Amino acid sequence: MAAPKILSVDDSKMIQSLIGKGFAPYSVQLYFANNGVEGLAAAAREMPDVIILDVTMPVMDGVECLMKLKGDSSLRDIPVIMLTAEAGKDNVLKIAKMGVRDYIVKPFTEQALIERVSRVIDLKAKGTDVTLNKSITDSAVVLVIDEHENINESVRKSLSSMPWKVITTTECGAASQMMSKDPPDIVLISLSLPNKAALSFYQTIRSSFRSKSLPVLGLSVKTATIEQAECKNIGFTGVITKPIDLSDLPERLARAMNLDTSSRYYEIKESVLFVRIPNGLTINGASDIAGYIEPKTKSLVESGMNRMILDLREVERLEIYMIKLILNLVTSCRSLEIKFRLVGSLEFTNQAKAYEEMTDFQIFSSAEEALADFDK
Amino acid sequence: MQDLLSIINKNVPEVFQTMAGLTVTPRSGDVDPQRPATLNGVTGSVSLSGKASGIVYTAYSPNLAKKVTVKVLGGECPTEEEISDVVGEFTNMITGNLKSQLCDAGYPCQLSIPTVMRGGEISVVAASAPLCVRNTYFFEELQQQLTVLAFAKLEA
Repeated sequence: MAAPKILSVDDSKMIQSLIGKGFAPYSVQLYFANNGVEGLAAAAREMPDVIILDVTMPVMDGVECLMKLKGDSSLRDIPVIMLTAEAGKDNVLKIAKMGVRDYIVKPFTEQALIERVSRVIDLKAKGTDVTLNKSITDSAVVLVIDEHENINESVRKSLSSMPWKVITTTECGAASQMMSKDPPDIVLISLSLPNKAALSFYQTIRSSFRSKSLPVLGLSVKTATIEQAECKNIGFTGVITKPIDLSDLPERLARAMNLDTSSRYYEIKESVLFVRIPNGLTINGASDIAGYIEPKTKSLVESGMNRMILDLREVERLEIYMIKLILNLVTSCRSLEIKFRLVGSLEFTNQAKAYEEMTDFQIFSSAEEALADFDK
Repeated sequence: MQDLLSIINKNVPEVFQTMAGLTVTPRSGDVDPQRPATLNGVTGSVSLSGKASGIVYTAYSPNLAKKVTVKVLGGECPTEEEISDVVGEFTNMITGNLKSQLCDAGYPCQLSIPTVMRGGEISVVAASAPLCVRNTYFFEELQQQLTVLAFAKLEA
């Protein structure tokens, strides 16, 4: 689908420049006209999806231009947003009666302009249709709002190994300022903040164009089921219960941010796909790995490679969900004719013998041994 | 309606804060300045006509005009045209907000398009305008000041 067209009719190059800068991150086609006459011609030629119209201009002012737009059957349905320094009540009423979609008074912020335009057209960030998700190795900003400093601190500590910036506060007022200064990629907010502040803050986040898709997780004690249900009903991304399982927190946040976590587990070295299963893998972690099996194995074959090593050496305790994951990987390899080998410690091998599903697999003690076996 | 100086004292900081992120502080101001008044540097003006008539001047030193333009448009060396455009548009916003309040107070009026002039010792007077206010606005960040001069006549 073609990017939406925005026509700005303003005699000020400064305003045109600010509009150009403001919409630069979005997939839109911008057109500029210096007065009402040029604006009418551009509107007829380009048929924009929205017109941003100034009032005081030479040659033909915005009011006359608007009258002519509304009097032209082919142009009258184009939404018009006035952008003007003139805000007297009578003036606004007179123009509103002529049929404008919105009225922005100068001085204006870039954010206000984008939000108002986004109510009329569907603004999409450039490249959102083709770029891949951010990776877990990329930087991100995590905003934590909890009335208890110790919770903020423990979240900060548990994420210290991640390449993420963690900013914390105990109240929503400060959080709003932090958000405008350092836009977060995810928000964690305590549902027990006084006066249901978390719900109001959530609504504020969702009402802003820039943050309407921002993942927001509620923090709540396990037994507070009513507040958890309430926050889910209004659309929170999810709830993390207290006491927080800090070991699993990075994965949970990565999942909520829809980050590509595959680099933690999958790596191609010397034409072999290594799948590393870390010690203490949780059910969520196993689910993460499983989610990448199909694209990773498919990509391996498409690249002309056909070997995979499943590295289980770190695993100290074999769980049922890990066996399911191993079987998933093996099934995918067999269906794509990928040769695979399993590598594990002696302890792991002994544990695996207890499971019928694992008895058919030969488990090598080192990657070198497994690699050598490919060539036998 | 607030007096002319109070309205302008409110509008000027708002325009610079919102559009350029610059904090400006009004000085005490003068509600009966010496006439003819003199202005220097890059001066923008916008006229009002109707039940409220008059003219608003905003006078920048060349250095201040350049710095404000850089703040708004980015870059390092703005052209004279870009500087004039920013000065004109800021004058338009300051006067436009004044016009809105005059209209709401029962003095409907129209705005002219902005004009910008350059020079030293520009002498201005509006013989038929009984109201005249002048004030300077200090830019903390830029260590510069802006002069605003307004003449007005209100007809019942």
